[in-house]
Parts: sequence; structure tokens; C-alpha cells
Amino acid sequence: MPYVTHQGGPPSEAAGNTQDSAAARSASATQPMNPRRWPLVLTHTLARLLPLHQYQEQVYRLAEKHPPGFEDGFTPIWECATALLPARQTTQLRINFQKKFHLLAVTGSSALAGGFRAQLYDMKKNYGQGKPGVRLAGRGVNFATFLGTGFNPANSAAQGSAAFFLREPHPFTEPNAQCLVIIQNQDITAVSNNIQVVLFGMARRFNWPD
Amino acid sequence: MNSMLDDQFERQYFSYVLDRIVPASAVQDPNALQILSDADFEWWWVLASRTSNLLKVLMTEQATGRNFIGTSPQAQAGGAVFNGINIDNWCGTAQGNASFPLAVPYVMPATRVYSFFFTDTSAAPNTVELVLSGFKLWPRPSVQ
Repeated sequence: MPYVTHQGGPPSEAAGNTQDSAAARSASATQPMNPRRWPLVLTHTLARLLPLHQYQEQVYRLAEKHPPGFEDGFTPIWECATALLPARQTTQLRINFQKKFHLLAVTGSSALAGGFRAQLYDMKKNYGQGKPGVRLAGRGVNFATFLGTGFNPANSAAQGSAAFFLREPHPFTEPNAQCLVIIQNQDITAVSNNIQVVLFGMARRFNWPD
Repeated sequence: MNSMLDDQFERQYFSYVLDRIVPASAVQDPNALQILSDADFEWWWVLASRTSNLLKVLMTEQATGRNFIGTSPQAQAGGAVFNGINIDNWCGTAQGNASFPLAVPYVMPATRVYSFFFTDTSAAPNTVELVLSGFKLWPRPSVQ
């Protein structure tokens, strides 16, 4: 069947394949740990990794909105923002996402011990406040308390990666979704700091569902 | 078995392993890993050990050309060429409790080839073991 464009959205949405229906299919493929909606019970995206017998339901509960799954044409992707910054310098980087990107985890690394501060903006999100664009932290946050990291600048042989997983996925689902990453190097030595901020999530391949 | 939970596959725990001694200062050293032809693979975890963490990785799915590790030109302020994610930002070892969970699995079709490109900046040979951990998906015979 030839590719047909539809007004009002891509053909998959016109065919009824909305984000909600995709999430519903994902939910049917992988049952929630605790289908009962208990308020004040912690949720965690990794609850999918737990047994289906709800042993852990008192502790974790799958997010209300299921992360999109492979059956919906989503694939994992790590989006990287890399910067080489002299002491105290700031830069802005923009990441253009693929379709329906859902942010699941963040991580980052600093080559120098001084570290950096980072701020993330969802440039297309609009919660009714008027101008699009929301920030994902109240101010620039020290990388150690914002991004998980396993990169140990003092010990290049140290193993490890410790990404920070969001309690629920953050959707970058608007058309031409974009994340603005602002990085300030906090290291004050004369050597430039090699910084990397990584956004891990799921994005739908461009030709789905063909 | 609850039919609501049964997708008609038997899951067999399995790990695909890629061992490579990345030459010193190699740039995008190419390596290929092919999924076996007997079953699809449901990828849940990525793990790696290496000599030095001064190592970057790119991952591509052949046949589709999909890049799993991406950037945009504006996001590349550290140099003209994007050589990938720092390996420790990607994954770690199981011993360090640092293997990276995908949280949402990805199904790798049987016989499909995945390319890994390593870039070393440690100026010494870098011994890498990369593991994709998950399940082989064995179709269950239908029961009449």
C-alpha cells in the first residue's frame, strides 16, 4: 500500500494508532504490577522487571502511563550532548528528537573532578502557560544530584554506570520535539572539561507502522 | 497460565557477548555481532567491562540503519565528529551492580547484525567485553 499522508496528523494516528491506544496495547502485553490504583504508593518504571505475581506491590507500582514498547514500533536510543568547556564556561546544546521520544533515564559524566551544572528544557511542551517550553529543574543542578553517573575521573579503571531513572517517563511527543541542554563547567582548573549529558529513552522509528 | 499474560513465547535466558581488544587510539573501530538464526532475542540489559573508561561507543542496527546512540549537530560542541557515548554512561558490570536496564525490552530479530564502533582515547589497547543480556524467544507450540 503506497504511503498516504493525512491531514491532521500522520497516517498512524489517523488509523487510530494514538499514543493512548499504543500505551493500552503495551499495557496488555505487559501487565501492571498493581492494577489497583492506590494513591501514595510509589511507582517505578523498572517494576516491569519484577515478577508478575505482585510480590512487590507494596513497594513499587508501574507508572500510570505505561512506557511505550517494542510492539508499538519503539526502540531504545541514547541521545548525547557532548561539550568541551573551559573553566566556568557555559554552553547551550539542542537535541532534536526522533518521533514520540519518551525520556526514561538521564546520565552524564565529567572528565574533571569539579563537575558541572546542567539544566534541561522541553522546548515544545505547553501545559497551558502560554509560550511553549518548560524547564525540568528549578535551576541548573549539580550533575551529581541530577544525572546518574558511573564515570569516575579519579579512577579510569573503576567500573560502573548508574543512570537516574525517572519515576514516570517524560514524553517529548510534540512535533519536532527538542530538548535544550544548558551546561556550565564548574571546574576551575586550566584544563577544559569534557562533559557528556545522555538522555536515554524510547523513540518510534520514522516509518512505523510500515 | 493466565492467557492475559501469555504471549506464546518461552523465554530462555541468554547473553550475546562481544570481545574485542580495541587498538590504542582507534577511531570508530568496527565490530559486528549477529543474532543467531534459531530465535529472536529480547534485549533487556546491556553490560560491559573495559580496561579504561576512556572509550566511546556507537551502535547501529544493520538492515534498518538505525542508530541507537544519537546526537544532533548542534549538540556536538566537543569536536567535529561524534564518536559516541562514553561507555560508562552507557553501561557497567554486573559485579558493580551497574548493568543498564532498558526498562522496555527491544526485540532483535534472528540473523540481524548489529555494529559497534569503539573509539579509544586512552592511548593504550583497551580490552572490552560487551554483553547484551536478555531472552531468546522460543515460539511455543499451540495446544489444541
